[in-house]
Amino acid sequence: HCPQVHSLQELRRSASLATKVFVQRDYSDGTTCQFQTKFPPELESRIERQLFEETVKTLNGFYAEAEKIGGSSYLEGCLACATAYFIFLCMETHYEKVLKKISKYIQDQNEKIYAPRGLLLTDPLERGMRVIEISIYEDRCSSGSSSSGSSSSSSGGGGGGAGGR
Amino acid sequence: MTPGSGSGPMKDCEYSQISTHSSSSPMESPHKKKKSVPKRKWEVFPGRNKFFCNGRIMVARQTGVFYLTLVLILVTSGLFFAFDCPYLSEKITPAIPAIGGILFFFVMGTLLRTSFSDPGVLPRATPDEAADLERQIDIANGSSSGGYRPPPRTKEVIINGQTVKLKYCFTCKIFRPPRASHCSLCDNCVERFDHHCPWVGNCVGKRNYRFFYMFILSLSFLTVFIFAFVITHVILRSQQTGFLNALKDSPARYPFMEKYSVVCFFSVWSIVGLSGFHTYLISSNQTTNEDIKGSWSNKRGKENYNPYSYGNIFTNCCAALCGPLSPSLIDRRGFIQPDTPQLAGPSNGITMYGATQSQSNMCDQDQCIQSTKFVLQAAATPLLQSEPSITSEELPLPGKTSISGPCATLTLGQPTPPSSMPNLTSDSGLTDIIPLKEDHEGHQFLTPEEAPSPPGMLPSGSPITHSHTMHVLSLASQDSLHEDSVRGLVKLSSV
Repeated sequence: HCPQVHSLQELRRSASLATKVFVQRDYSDGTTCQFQTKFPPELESRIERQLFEETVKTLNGFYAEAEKIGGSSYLEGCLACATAYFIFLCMETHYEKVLKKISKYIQDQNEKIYAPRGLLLTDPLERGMRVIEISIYEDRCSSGSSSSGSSSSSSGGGGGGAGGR
Repeated sequence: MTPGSGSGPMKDCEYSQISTHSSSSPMESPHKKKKSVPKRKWEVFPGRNKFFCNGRIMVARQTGVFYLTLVLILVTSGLFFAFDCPYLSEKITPAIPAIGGILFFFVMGTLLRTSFSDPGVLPRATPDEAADLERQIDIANGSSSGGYRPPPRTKEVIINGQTVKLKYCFTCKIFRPPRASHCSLCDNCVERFDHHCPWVGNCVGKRNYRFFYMFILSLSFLTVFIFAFVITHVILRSQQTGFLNALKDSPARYPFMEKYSVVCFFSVWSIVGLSGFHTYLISSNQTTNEDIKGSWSNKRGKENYNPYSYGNIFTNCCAALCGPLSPSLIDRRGFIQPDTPQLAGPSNGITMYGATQSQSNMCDQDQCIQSTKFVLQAAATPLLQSEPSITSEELPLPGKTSISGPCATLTLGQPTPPSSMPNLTSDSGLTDIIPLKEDHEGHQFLTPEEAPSPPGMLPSGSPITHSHTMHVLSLASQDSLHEDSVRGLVKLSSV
């Protein structure tokens, strides 16, 4: 029988990585950190479009909050400048606080939404804020899994590797 | 629990180890007598940077001119405090050494912050990302248009109505974000790249631009301050005793005075000029790179304007100086996970933030000594067992990766031969001494040419290559001369 993957540990234990999808940055608003909300075709069969878009939009919102230029960021900047930036040795910046929130959110999303569907989100911070990496796993026991249909030249080996186990 | 990429076959054994930083995977343990010490990411960093204090401090390779800067500032300030301040604090007010002291403290603080912090280096693409990008480029260009040469790798985006071209970086295997540029001296892509400053011994980019600006601003105040009060001192003394006697009264200083007044004079004007230039850049929200290339100048066309500018000077200044400070993306002090690509190991989120905070701590001697010991210890252990850089599912056993192969391809991993660098830096060092009007050119000289590395590089080979290079060099990481010779030897051996 093929148990559906329920948790992250189970995911890692029983599934093998089929392919990875990369959600690229959206630079239309300048250099602020935003990701494209375009739905990748490889996820078509794995997750509802709306859930995915909501995740990306929430992440975009978090990043916008981190990079917001307003009263509190000015205060932080001026205070830091006045102390010759030594205050950074003891204080956590606003950006870092938001990044922690993002990390928690991604973990939460992984547990609740993505892992049950055999997907895994990687925090963009670990990829230099360039991409949101979504790993697509296939169940070891499922045959001809849906994600293999999307395997292309780079991840063609992935299908072979999974089979080669 | 770490979200991260997984590689299939080893997962059974390793899943319990994912959240820890232990690098002893089952196949390594027979080789090691004791528990293997995990490596930190700065030790295998592919760029040409030097790291100190176990990854907390990061500078460019050539730091000779930086030491010169330090010496000039310290000696000039030292002479001022030693010889002029006693007289002036008596005659005029003791506030003078106080203010001088505050300025000096501010200058040193911002200088060290500029030099030692990460300018905004973009980590290189993981092999999966690079492969995915290549695939997309191929699809976009179509196989038929391949022809005799590879199609140009650019992407166009529209930012605030302006069309901006994003270039593909062959070294880092990414499309550079807007305003990012690849520094050929440091061999890194840097976000919002301004220029590579030899005086500061580091690139100036998004994360340290405000420190750099505050440094040159406070330095201009300091030099003007010192210059003014030295002259005041001489004038006051000469009023008392006559001009020549005033000079005689400070015999220790007299031989210095001429040389230092020349240096002071030129440095005052250079630095004040540079501050003015950067004030202009900040108020128009441009980088030195963009200004020199004339990216947003009106001469290019009526429709050309700067899409990043906020419209008014005040907002631009505030955004550049008081805006939020983004964290370092390269996670220098994180540990390398054994089952992940060496280029971007997914570390535990908490560890990373701890690292980010501590990266700004000044080092202490113990850490430095320990890090040296650790480096030597790590050197004694076989290199590549903890870094299966090819994590795609095709190679289930990392040990299969041949180590002898990468040695032959060692130099391919470095697009610009290191031998060209010292010439560049020393030339520009001399150029920079020439006063104000050529100051821009001095820095311009170091605006990096975007030298693409040969596109035929082995994508899977290069991470190993870099780790090998870095491992060889980590033995001598504290000694730049030794490092240079080692790098030279390694290069020779690979020919």
